[in-house]
Amino acid sequence: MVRRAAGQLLPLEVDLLSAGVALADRGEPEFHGYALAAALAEGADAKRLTAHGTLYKALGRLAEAGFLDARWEDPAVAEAQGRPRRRLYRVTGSGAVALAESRASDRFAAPVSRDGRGARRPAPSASPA
Amino acid sequence: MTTSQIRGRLAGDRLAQRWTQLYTSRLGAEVALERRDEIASDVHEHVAASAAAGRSRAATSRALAARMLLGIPADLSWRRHRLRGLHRAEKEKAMARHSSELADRLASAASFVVLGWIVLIGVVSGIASSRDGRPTDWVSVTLVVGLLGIAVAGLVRLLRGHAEAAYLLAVVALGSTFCFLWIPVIPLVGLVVAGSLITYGVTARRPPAEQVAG
Repeated sequence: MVRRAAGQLLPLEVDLLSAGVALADRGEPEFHGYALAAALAEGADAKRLTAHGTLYKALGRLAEAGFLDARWEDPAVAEAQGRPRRRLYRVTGSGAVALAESRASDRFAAPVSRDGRGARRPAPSASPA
Repeated sequence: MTTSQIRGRLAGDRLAQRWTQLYTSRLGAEVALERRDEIASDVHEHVAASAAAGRSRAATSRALAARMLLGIPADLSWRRHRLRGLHRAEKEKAMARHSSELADRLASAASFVVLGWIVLIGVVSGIASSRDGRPTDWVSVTLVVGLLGIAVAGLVRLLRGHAEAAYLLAVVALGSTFCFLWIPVIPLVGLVVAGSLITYGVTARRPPAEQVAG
């Protein structure tokens, strides 16, 4: 099990929140797990999508922490479209704040290169944490 | 060919669904159903996206199997976490049930003590007055019979599950010990019995914490 300080986001959680914010910016404020996994893989240019267990465990943690809102869509909508019901997520205000804080602390902690720019965070990994 | 037709043939899909059935077993119906629905939805979207991108069925099946296999450690850790929560809730429920049963038994015992005490007062004062050849003290008889009636009524109500009857019995316990104010230990015992009956009445009438929170 991954250990971390209270209130600190894990790299995968930062990536998930970033992907969620990016989807919201693209006009999709609510997204399902697969859409998030696809957005993550696209952003990281990875061939493999995040594993089911890793993805949904992390989403559950973020929802429990209040960084994501989760709701089940109307079963009638899913039935009309001939597919299983989706669980829809949305990045909350506190999720956006936690992401911004995490990015700020990463920038602060990152080693500074010779030209004075902070080192970039590595691209999110598609393999499970 | 529709997504559901493609899905029906994918080994990776079947594998993911069976694994989900397995690791969500004995976790409670709601938790299990939600996780199974979430994985079913993910697999459906994955297959649909792969079909739209023109990927082969074999490649999609392999990708699904890989996502399932690589997620096993996280699934098992999630299951452990859920099971721990489930066990903790069951343990707390059992403890609450146990303490409630104990309180019921104690309240019944205290009620019987009160009842026995009043009967004893009546018998002792009856024997004393007949031995001394004194005329019957009708005030004391009325008091004892009245207290006895209230105690019986309180006990019956308490045994039928009316917790507020404990207050009635507490009043009787205090009232009956007033006859023996010159022996300090008796009012003290009466106070303890009345106190425990009042405590029982208050706690038994209070709704459980989870109901208040909910």
